[in-house]
Amino acid sequence: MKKFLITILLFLLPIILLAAIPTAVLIISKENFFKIDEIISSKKKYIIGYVYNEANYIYLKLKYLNLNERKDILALGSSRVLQFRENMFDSSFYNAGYTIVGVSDFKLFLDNVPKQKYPKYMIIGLDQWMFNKKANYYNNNSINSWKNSLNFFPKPESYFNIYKDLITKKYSFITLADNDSINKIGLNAKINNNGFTNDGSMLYGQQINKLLNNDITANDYNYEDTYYEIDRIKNKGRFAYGDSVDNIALLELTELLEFCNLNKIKVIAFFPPFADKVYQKLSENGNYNYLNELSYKIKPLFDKYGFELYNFPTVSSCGSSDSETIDGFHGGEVTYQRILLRMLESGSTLNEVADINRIKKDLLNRKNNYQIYNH
Amino acid sequence: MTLKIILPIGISFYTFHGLSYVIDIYKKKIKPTKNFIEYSVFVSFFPLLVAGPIERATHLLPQIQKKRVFNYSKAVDGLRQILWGLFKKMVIADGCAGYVNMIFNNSSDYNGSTLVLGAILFAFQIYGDFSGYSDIAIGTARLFGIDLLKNFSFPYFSRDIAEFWRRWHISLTSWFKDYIYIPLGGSRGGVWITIRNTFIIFLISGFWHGANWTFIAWGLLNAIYFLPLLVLKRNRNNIEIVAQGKYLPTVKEIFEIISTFVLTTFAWIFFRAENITSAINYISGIFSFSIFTMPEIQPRKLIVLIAIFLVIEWFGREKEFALSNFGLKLPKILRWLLYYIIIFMIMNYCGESQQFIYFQF
Repeated sequence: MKKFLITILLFLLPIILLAAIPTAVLIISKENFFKIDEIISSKKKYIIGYVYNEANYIYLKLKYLNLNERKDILALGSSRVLQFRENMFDSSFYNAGYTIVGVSDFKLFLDNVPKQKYPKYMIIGLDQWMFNKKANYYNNNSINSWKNSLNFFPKPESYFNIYKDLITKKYSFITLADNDSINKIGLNAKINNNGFTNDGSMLYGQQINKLLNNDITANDYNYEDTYYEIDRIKNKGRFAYGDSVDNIALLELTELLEFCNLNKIKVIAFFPPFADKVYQKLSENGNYNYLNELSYKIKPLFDKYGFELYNFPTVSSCGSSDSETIDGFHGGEVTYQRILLRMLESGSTLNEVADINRIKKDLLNRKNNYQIYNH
Repeated sequence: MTLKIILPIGISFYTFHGLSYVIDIYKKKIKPTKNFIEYSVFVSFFPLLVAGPIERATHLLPQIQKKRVFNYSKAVDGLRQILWGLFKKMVIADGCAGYVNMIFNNSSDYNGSTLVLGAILFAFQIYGDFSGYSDIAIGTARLFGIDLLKNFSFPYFSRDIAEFWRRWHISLTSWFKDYIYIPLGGSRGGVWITIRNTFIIFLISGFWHGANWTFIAWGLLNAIYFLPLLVLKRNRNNIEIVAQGKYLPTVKEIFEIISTFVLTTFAWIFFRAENITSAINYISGIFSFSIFTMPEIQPRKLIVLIAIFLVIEWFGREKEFALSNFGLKLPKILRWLLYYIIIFMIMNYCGESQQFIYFQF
């Protein structure tokens, strides 16, 4: 038995030594081995941005809504609603974006929020591909898988990725040191200043800095990654080809709207815009016919309940431009302020909780093409 | 309307496990134990509780009753078996699972060749998942000095369907053989009685997996595969290990192995499908002109991993499990290096974690 135990110990020793550095990185950066419950229920300013534990975001958003007081306005959707900020509204707001993959996820998300915390107004981002069967975003069920699980312990692949990232100098131990007054949790927050702030919206720290400096290492610079997806990945994902709007997704949407109507949640939906150049490429491609059907097939479902639906196929359709986009299918804060402005100008019910004149003034006083407010 | 009954995990395993105790006492193969602890350990021995192997009282109980001494070689080999089981489960089975779910859940959207790929990946998923679990269970038991029954013996290298069933889920197949097939007369009453008994066994096996027509169809299909072998009395042609003592099989053996794999993979479609209609739609999707086009999904990394897996299994096919006593002639440092590589592959190439498929049975 003694020989066996010594052999095991000797065998494991190199593994333990190899694991020591990544474990230190994960602890220092709070990427793992850190519980976020306390910080998200406090009033301290924070940025939570993970690199290896993105699934934690569902936990973060649901936990926030469960632990904190009810919010009047809730933004819900994928990453394409994340630029709506508390500063844009005059009532309490939370952005629960980055939690929704398919249409069925909206109701699943609400099922996991206590009824007394349902918002009065819910802004939902309907990604166009949610209605394309080939995109494979059905029955994703990621909410049920992740709602209660924070990756406290790291996933095995994180250890390899850390070595890879350290060798390629994506970060170093020095960049991990705490030198900011804001609590930064996770490697993305520490290194890139990317992550979710207290209102649930997303800060694109490093990406915006790169765009402002015309740095070609910015993600999706000149929409190259988006073009690649459109040209090369035809059978699955965001840019899968699709002829017509899928009926299952329409049924799921009907179920959601019925549910919101019963629970007195006013729904304000919108199709988030693509960059003009990207939309042009999609149109020229000719294999995305479902995009043309979206508005007229979905609008009647909203009309039935008196809910609002806004179609912004391109950034220019909301008064923005490609120079205000973060990548091929994400507008920046300025774009989203313009979206809100268009909604308010169209007589949206959001006029009850947002001041159109202030929105206009804030837009005029924006910091740059991507940012309006300080965080 | 369907009855939604919550069944305890592993019920079909420990029911059969417990039945063997009662039947073997009835047949006077063993004497009933009067020691409550021994009996409790027998019925609830943790490694095999949820998904087997289905043990026999005659095999397991005497080992529990006997005083055990720690055996270094057995424990180390047990760890090797656990390691190999983890590789099968986490790399092969879980790696296949994502693609299999994607293809089977949206089968109408894919061309024939992608559906073929989906079926093949499911064949590897179920093998990696179930035999992986068995390896982990058997390896864990060996750490305690207990030998459990072998459950898989490289079934995808079988040359006919009879050999496949001698190598697949051995503990269940032999349970059926000993407690149902032989009491029914086995092969002693001529060809027709043998055929009848074989069909009974496969239908029961289908029912054992669940009250769904897909399992019955799967069992029936396997029984039909057996028919020509029984009629021609060739069901015991391939008893020995394929290409024993040789590096490579003959062309004939390769053809036989591939044919058997195709047949079992075809049957697995019924096993995996949600219902009979889905299975039939899946199969009609395969038999279309689109089978001659390139698959729409090309999991290159996974295919390389499966190829590595098959090579290791092939060269280990004459042993208890592929890594059994692996590289004993090599210097320790090289042997350990190979283990580290396997651990690296498990950590780096593991698929998204999935529950063991056989936990539902």
